[in-house]
Amino acid sequence: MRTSHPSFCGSSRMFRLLLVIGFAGMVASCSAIQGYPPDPENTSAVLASLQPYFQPSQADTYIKETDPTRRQQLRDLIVLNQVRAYDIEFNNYEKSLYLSGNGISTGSDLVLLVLNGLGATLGGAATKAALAAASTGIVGAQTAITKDLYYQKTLPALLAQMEANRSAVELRIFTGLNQEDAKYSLLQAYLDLQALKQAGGIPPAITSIAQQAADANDASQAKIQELRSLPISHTESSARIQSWLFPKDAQGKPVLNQDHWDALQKWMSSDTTDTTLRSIPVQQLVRGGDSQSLEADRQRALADLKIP
Amino acid sequence: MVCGTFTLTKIATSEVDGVVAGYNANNPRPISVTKTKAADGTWTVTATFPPCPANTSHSTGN
Repeated sequence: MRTSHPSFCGSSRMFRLLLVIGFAGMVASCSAIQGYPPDPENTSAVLASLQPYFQPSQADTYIKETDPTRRQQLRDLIVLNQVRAYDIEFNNYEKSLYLSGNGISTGSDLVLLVLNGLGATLGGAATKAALAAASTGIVGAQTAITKDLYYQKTLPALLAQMEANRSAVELRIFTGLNQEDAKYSLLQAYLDLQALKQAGGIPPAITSIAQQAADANDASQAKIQELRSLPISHTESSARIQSWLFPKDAQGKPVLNQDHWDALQKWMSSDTTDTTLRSIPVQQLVRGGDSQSLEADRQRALADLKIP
Repeated sequence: MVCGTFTLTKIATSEVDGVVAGYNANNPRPISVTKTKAADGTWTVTATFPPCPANTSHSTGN
């Protein structure tokens, strides 16, 4: 017969509650690391001071100006100040993304999930329901960690691409500003400023990264296509690898050395210099001629596998 | 993953069986390896591997 001990159970629950909240708090406190030095500039005040350069009246003044020198000065003033404003906003955005990807969201998500889970567990519900709720809390926490770790891993690539996209547009703008107003007017600069505004976003960064991956894949597939049909090679490298793979027996008949073959195929599969080697048969590497890239690959194989 | 067809041409008669053996030693093995004698007396060896996936650019699945 089982007896109940309400006061002990209550203490135990309280202890578990404090333990879990303490752990969640520790995780959350890990997020206090700051990735950027403090900014001595009052960016809000600077942004406010730059607002006049976004007013349509600035463009009106520029359009009405007839002196080419003065007109160019106005163009430069408007464009450079708008670029500065976009830079400040981008830096703020970048910082917020960086901070959100380095612990704060993980910690706060965990606290929320743990408390939700505990609330359901300690709420006096039936044991089955409580266990199910606790389980949901754990699964939810794991999902939060997975999501945030994935975010942390991909964030540097996204930030790098966002900066690259912005740099490309800024180069266009500064190249334009080096030209006289007749060749690069304020209206043309406005188009580039719009592009600069968009270039700092996550969607264009994802698009650029995806496009680069697609381009790399296309280039790889085109290279594989070139290697599909080749005349046989009679280079020294081919002959050396062939002899290593098929040494002659006592009767002078070539016999496959399976260990050597496996070593070469493993080398091809793991090579990072020419990843197309993973998609061609060994024979194409060893005997394929008229290909400078294959000859270079064979030379690397000879050196890496110490083929005599 | 190796897929589609791969061919070596201008192979001398003395070398053709070695080339066929080389393709057959591949892991995974090709579905088939055929040798054809050209008009100039040299040989062409074609190894056929499983068709390339549909999303592979420039796939040569035949």
